[in-house]
Order: sequence, then structure tokens, then C-alpha cells
Amino acid sequence: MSQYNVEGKQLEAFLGPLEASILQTIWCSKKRPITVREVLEELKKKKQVAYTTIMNTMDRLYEKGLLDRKIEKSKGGAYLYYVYWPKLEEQKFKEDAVRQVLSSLIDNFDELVTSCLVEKAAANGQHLEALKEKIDKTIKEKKQ
Amino acid sequence: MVGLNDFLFQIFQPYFFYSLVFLSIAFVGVKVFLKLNPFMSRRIQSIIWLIPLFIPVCVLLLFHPQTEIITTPFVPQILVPAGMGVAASAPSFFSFTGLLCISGAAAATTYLLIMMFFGRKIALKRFHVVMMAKEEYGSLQEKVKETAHKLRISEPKVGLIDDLLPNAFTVGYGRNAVIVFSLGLLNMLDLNELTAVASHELAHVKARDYIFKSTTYALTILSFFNPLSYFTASQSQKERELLADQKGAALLDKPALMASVLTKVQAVVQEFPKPNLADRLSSGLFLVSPLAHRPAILATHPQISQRLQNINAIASRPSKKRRYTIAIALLLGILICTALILGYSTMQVQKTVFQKENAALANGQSVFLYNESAPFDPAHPTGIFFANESSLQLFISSLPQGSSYVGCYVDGNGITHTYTSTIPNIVEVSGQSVLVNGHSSFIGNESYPLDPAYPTGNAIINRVYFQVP
Repeated sequence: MSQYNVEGKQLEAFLGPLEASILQTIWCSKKRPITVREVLEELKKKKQVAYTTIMNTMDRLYEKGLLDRKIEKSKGGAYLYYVYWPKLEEQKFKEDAVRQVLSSLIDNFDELVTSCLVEKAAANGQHLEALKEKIDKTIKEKKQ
Repeated sequence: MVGLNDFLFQIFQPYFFYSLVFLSIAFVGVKVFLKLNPFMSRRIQSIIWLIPLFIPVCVLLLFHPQTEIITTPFVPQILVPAGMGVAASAPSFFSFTGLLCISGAAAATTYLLIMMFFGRKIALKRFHVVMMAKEEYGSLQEKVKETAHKLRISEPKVGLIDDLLPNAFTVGYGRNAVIVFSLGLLNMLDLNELTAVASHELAHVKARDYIFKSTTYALTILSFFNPLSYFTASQSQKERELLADQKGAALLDKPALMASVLTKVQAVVQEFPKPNLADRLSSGLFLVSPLAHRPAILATHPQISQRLQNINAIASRPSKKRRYTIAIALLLGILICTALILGYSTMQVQKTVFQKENAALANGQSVFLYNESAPFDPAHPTGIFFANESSLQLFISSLPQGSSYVGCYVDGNGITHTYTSTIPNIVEVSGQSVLVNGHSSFIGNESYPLDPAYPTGNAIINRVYFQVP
């Protein structure tokens, strides 16, 4: 994850808006692997978008290592086309991304990040309890 | 076991036989004609190649395919004493060739209707065509617009398919035409080269090749049992391709670019295995001018060498005037020959139709004949058929005085009697009865024995044969 957008919501914090909706579409789709055209058809239900825009964005997602692709042959062998599939499932991707961002923050601003986390957690009693439990558990495991 | 006779009966089913023979003759004729006249324009050549395919349609109008063949020769009921009933026992066979012809005609009609009304929709769906948005490949879309204006046709829509192989084709016609490029082609060629491909496809739109192709294929389906129909269709399509190459090249600033694009695309396409038959068929049936190739002999596209030669040869052709003179002279020759053949076959057909109507005699229906060859021979009746009594009576009233006629009736013992008389003897025509000199030729409910001189009962003309001096 090379960029983090503080104003973006959910996936858009890590990715561009179109990248996020394409990834979301692929994760939600029952069809795997999927073609650019199929993603386009799905996205067109929500907004007007051009084929090449989707194609270029999926190409970028492939280069970023979020999607994988291969060349497939049509049944009759008449033509060749790219099919894509996600390298990570939605939950795994989110976990990895959050971990990556946080570890970068901690590496750079260690103390600040920890106190910030505790402050944020303190705003909600339940979160604070959960955090305490996790910290206790980790300490225990380390001692053993 | 199928005997030779059965086989011959199948072959000689009129529509099947005539369509087979005339298409084949026309194929050879066209081949020779075009060989003698190599400078004819591609457009005219492609149309001339359609003539053999249209011939079965003419035959279809004259002969209706029959699924039943009656094997006995025609025997007029008039000669058959009542009770013998030869015609009734005539054996008949199921005609497989008739069934072939009927299914061909039905399939051709269905295909043509589908292509005209739903062809574009089916093709766009089948080949997963995505319409380009305005901002996509903007400069290419601009070039397509420009070329369409040059050709004075309405701007076609532009689509793309996610095929990584270079390909381009046209679907639909007129305002609904769509020019489709594959991603492979869009990535492989630069703007000028893509414009060359677009010019080729737009030349197809201008020439209404979607309709031309649909018609050609429908006609091929009609004659699907004749292998020559496939060659004819393929030849016609090749001429259309060469025409689009020429017209497309002429639209470009550098016509040679068309040749270089074709060579480039062909080189890439040939590296990949050929698609299977089903895919080739569907692309052949629905698309105009797909770049993907097929086996040379039945291909809709000419060989690349021929196409290059064609593009390069534009400058070295004889003058238009000379070409047109030769073409018109040869075309006239062909038209005259065709008219003669058609005239002769129409005469034959009329004869057959007459015999068919005459066969209605066997069902006890009335038949009236005129202009019988003298001497009158009831065994071999010829002449004009009157479908009903009123048309006969109208005819009688127009006959010159002194015309003679031969009347004929069957008596109660089933014996046929004939007698002659002259027209002035017709004294009364009323309703269903025609009284001739006080007696009718055939009288229903006649007291037996029949005496034509003193008729009784209801007079009904059953059969009258006339002879005009």
C-alpha cells in the first residue's frame, strides 16, 4: 500500500474510487475469473463508465498486485481475452492494508500512535476493554 | 431396398431437379462469362455471381416442391370407362428431395427475417460488443466520422470487443450499422492504419454489404443441397471484399497503406490456430467482413495475395468506358440467353400446369378445352383449360361463326361418345345449362338411352372440346 487517503471512506482510504468499486465488484461477483466487460456491465448499473477506463484501472490493479490475470481462449478458439481474479479476499486485503498503514505509522511515530490509539479506544468503554484484553493476552503469550 | 427407379423419382422431383440443373448451368455460365471479361467492375462481378443463386427462386415460383410423387403417367379419366378407376390406384412415394427443398426454403426465409430484424442485436450480443463511449479512442472515432462524411453515409456507431487478436467487422446496416474493432487491433495499429481498416469497413456499410451478405446466405440456404451454391456465395462475397478494399483504399491519403495493414494483420492472425467450425460459421453468418480467416476455397475473404494485387492494380485498369462497353455487351448476351431459357422453361411449365389441371378430370371436375389439335384425340387432349363454366361460355360467345366443336359424353354404361358440331348451333346459354342446337353435350339425370337430339333432364356441360377452323 503506497498511499493512504485520510478523507477516503472504507476501501477508498487505500485505493482510488474506481479501483475500490472495481475490487468491490469483483469480490461480490459470483463469477471468477471475470473479464473487463463483465465488470463494466456490473458497474454500468450504477454509473456511466467507459470500457477503456475500466480496462486501464484493472491493468493498474494488476500492476499493484491486487489482481491476477491470464489470457483465456474462447470455447471455439476464435479469440483470446484477459480474465482477472483477486489475489486477496476482501477481509484479508483489509487486514493487510490496515496492518501495513499502522506499522508504517508506528515505525515513524511510535509513542504518538500508541497514545492516539488508547485515546480513540477510551472514547468507547467497550473498545477500551477489548484493547486491554488484547494487550494482556499478548503480554501473557510473550512471557510464556 | 431402394431401387434405381425410386432414386430417379426422387431426383426428378421438378423443383429439385430444375433448381439443381439451372443453378449448375448458370454457375458454369457466369464462370466462363467472367473469365472472358476480367475487367468488369467488382460490384458488377459480385452481382453477376448472385444470378446462379437467384435461379432457384425463379424455379420456386414456377414449381412448388412436392412431398408426394405420383408415379403413373397422366391418363385422362375421359378415356377410362367408369368403374375401372386406373388413376385412383396410382401409387405415390414420399419425396425426400421435396422435403429437402421445403426445409431449405423455410430455413432461408427464417434466416433472412432474423438477419433483417434481429441480426444486429444477435451479433452484438453473441460477440460481446461494447459500444465505445465518446471519449474512448476519440481520434479514431473522429476519423470514422470524417470517412463516413466523405462517403456520404450516416455516422456508424463504433464498438470494441475484448479479443486480443487483431480483428474488425461490421454488423447491421444503414443508420444502425456498427463498426467493431478488437482490442488486439486497437493496440497493434496506429491511428492511420486503424483509419485504413475503418475505411474498408465503411466501404462495406456504403455498399450495403450486410443486406447483400444476408441475401446471399439466404439464397445459399435455399439451395443448400447444391454444393455449387456455396462456391457461388463465396465468390460473390470475395468480390465484395475486393470492392471494399478498393473503395476503402481510394478514401485514404496513401492507398498503399491498405495493403500494408492487410499484410500486417494477416501475419499476426496466421500465427494463431484457426477457430473451430461453429465459431467460423457464426462469424460467417452474422458479421460482415471479419478479418479472421477460413479455409481458402469457401472463404468469404480472398487470399491476401489477391487482395494486394487488387489494391495495387487500381491504376493499371483499362478505361471505364471500354470496360462498360464490354460489360454491357456481354451482359446483354447473358440476358438474352437467360430469357430464351426462361421462355422455354415457362412453356414447359405451362404444359405441366395444364396437365396438372387436366388431371383434375380424374376427380370428376369439369374440364373444358379449346384449340384442340386436329384430328381431335380424346386420349391426348391439349389446348386451353377453362376453370369454370362461365369462362367457357364467355369464350364460346367470342368464337367465330363456323367454328366446330367436338362434344363428348359418357353414357350410363360408362362408354364415351364424341360428336362434332359448329358454333352457330349454339342457341341457348342459360345458367348451368348450355344447350347446343337443342341438345346438350352431356346431360345430368338424362333418361336412358341418351339421345342428344332430344335432351331431357338438367343440362350440364361436363366436357366439351372445341376445334376452330
